[in-house]
Amino acid sequence: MKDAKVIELEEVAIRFSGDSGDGMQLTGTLFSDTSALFGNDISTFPDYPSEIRAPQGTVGGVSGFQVQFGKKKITTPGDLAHVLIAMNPAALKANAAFMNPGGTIIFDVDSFSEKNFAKAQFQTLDPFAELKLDDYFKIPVPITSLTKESLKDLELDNKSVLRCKNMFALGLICWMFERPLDYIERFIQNKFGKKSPLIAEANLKVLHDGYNYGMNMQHATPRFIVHPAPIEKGIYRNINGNLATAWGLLAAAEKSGLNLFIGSYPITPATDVLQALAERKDLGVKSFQAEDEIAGICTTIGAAFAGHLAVTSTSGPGFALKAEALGLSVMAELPIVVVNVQRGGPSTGLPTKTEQSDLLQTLYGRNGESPLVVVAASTPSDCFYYAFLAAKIALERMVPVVLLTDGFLGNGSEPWRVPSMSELPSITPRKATNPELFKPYNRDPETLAREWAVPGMEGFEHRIGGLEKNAAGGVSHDPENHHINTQIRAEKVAKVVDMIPELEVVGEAEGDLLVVGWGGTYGHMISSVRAMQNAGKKVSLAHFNYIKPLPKNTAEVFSKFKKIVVCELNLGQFASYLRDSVPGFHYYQVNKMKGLPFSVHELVENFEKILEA
Amino acid sequence: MELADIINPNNLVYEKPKLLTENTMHYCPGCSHGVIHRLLAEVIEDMGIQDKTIGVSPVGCAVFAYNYLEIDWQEAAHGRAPAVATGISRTNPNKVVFTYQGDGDLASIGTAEIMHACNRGENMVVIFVNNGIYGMTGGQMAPTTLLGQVTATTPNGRDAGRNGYPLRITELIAQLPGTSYVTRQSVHTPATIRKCKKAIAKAFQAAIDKKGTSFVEVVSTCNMNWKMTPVKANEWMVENMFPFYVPGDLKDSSKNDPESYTPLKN
Repeated sequence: MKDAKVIELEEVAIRFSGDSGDGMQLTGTLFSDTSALFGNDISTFPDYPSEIRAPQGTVGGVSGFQVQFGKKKITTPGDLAHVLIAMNPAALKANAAFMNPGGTIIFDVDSFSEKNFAKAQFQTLDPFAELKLDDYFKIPVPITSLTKESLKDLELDNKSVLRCKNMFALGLICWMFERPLDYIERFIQNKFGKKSPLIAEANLKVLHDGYNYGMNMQHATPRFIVHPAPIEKGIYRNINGNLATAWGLLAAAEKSGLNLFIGSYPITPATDVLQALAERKDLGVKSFQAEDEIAGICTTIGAAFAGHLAVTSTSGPGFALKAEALGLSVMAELPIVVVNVQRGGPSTGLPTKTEQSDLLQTLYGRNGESPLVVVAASTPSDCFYYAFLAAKIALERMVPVVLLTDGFLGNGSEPWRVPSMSELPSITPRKATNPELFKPYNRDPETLAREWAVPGMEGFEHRIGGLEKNAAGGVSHDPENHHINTQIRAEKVAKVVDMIPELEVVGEAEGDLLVVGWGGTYGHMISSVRAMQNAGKKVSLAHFNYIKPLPKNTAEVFSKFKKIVVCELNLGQFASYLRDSVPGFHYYQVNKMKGLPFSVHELVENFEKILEA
Repeated sequence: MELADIINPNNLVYEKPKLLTENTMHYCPGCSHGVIHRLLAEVIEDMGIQDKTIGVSPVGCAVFAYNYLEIDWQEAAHGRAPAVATGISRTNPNKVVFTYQGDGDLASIGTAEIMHACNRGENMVVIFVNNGIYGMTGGQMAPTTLLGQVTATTPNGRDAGRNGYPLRITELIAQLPGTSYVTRQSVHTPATIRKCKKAIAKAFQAAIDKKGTSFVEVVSTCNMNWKMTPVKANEWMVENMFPFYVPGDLKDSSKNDPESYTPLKN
């Protein structure tokens, strides 16, 4: 036997790809979890067509899962994959454009048949030539027939046998990247062990046979070593943005001593937030699936009036429906949190794809002068912290807060060190205490936040609503009163600036180009800026999590750079907002509207052009 | 019979309706939508109204319905198909307008629109596909989810105290004076498929005759989100859905129903 080809790598991106029914999301997730447990830093990107299942073998039905892992900090799932696992010709076709030049392609040669070429609409019988993949390192593996062979002695129907194919691929990949199988074995035992021991046995057998196949075929399969990353000690788990959001809200409820209420309606890609909280009745969560988006936010407003940490979660079209009620929460000055997991728009748009195009809707999309606080998470795991902070701001300043995440953050995952509750800041809701002094719209002179009295508190009986009112809560049409209240509501939001940290710059505090981004693009932004810095360019990054109000040192940071470029997945909404809020600078723009995250490569290319301009 | 006889066009007994496009349907294997689409195509073809039929598709799994039938289509905002259809129907009184909606779309977010369109007696057909779950977003509780039924948002089964009762919206619709024909069908056997086709044809005839709103519920399966095989899903539907969503006509003004519809004065 020849020696294995062992290749040491800093980081590697793998894309698992097959039919929607091939179990690629599970395969990718298990491999990612295994890598995280091994000590690599990881970042994942599930890329699937829609929640429903398209016909087998067609390009439209291909489901993919990309994971990048490495021995250093990983900030993106990788622009291009180094290794592709293609379970059928359609998967090869759908992913050819996402391959690193000269990458490795492992494919199920059994499925590369004339019939499947036709389903994937190949014109010829040589898909590799047709996709210009001739120079790639191709490893044909008879995955289907080996899986059948592996299970021939078990009494299993053909369908159940074929459903084990993904485990063969997973075993092989685990061998190639030196991953231990114990975590995956435990997962299979837990999932099938009790209910259907035969299925568990079959999956385990195929997993090991895939692993052994790699070992036996060393002459044909390269082996890669990716060492663990130096990561701070602690308890880690892999988490996606939607779950992190749900948990951040749970932590805020615990920290503030309140019960959590969520009133939501199912909508892609935000439904997981509702689902995650529906499962936590044990932690006192009152989850309510409303009949529509409007009822979702209105129940939330009711729950806030009744003294709960009240939340509603949605995505673009649902956020549009909530606009009127959001105005009510501005007027009633109730502490609610609205989570908008942004997707491609307008209208139904691109439900499963990511975009940042709800920013202006969030800032301005209501009738009247209707200011509220806007924060944006920037990685899957920091959705936890920004959900927590959104709740803190709402409860301490009696103001609605919108948390913007997006489909990329919501579905993407990364390792996350689980914090202890003592690490999190305190939350002190502005509960009214003195009935003698209480009026619903009496304000703290510093913060302008009103007090929160809850129905049932003796001496605090009061009325609030959507009509303009005076300090006592009575309806008022007095012109002076409306003018002053409008200013107060704006100023109250502006004063939140005291609660938020100053804008940080990654890199030198002055230089030739300041790259500006916000929200879910962080991973790709930081990677591209580091690449520029490593090439000796005077480029720094300022990434915004606080959109309204903006950090107080924003203009000062901007003034130290010769050029500023604002990058976002829309046509320039944050750039417009900055022109209005932080005038006096020229803002270059990099924009993308493809339903996909930025790639590091395209960002670097754009930055170089701007530096030369 | 020899092969030559079998492929002889004179012996043709079954073929794809001309109205169905060549597009491969994206629905999960075992889904009821494909059968219902086919019935619509057959009815429209049989009645010769392809040139004047306008469909309004919902948000939900059937959002792509417009890919499969060769007629004019408009996709509506979630739940608002009856309002969009009202606009089309009122400005095109001689066209045949229908909406095609799921239970989440029609009986939850779109409750206001469907009730008022039916109450006004808008001249249109409503095809209501009820599978008791949100399919497109991955299996959450729908208004029509049965008590005890496990979904992604009712992990311990639907509980009346917490989640309310399943909604028999078709029974409510049948009370409204604007509806002329209200029926509940299914497509799980050849016999029920034939019956469902007759019901759809009757509804379309009512629209041609300007009899107001006709409403055809099709109790359906979502085997993928019910987590069953297609065959098992059909059995489960018969055992669990039919006792609550009882198949049959709820209202038929052609049989001199006293509640019968009064035509709109144009």
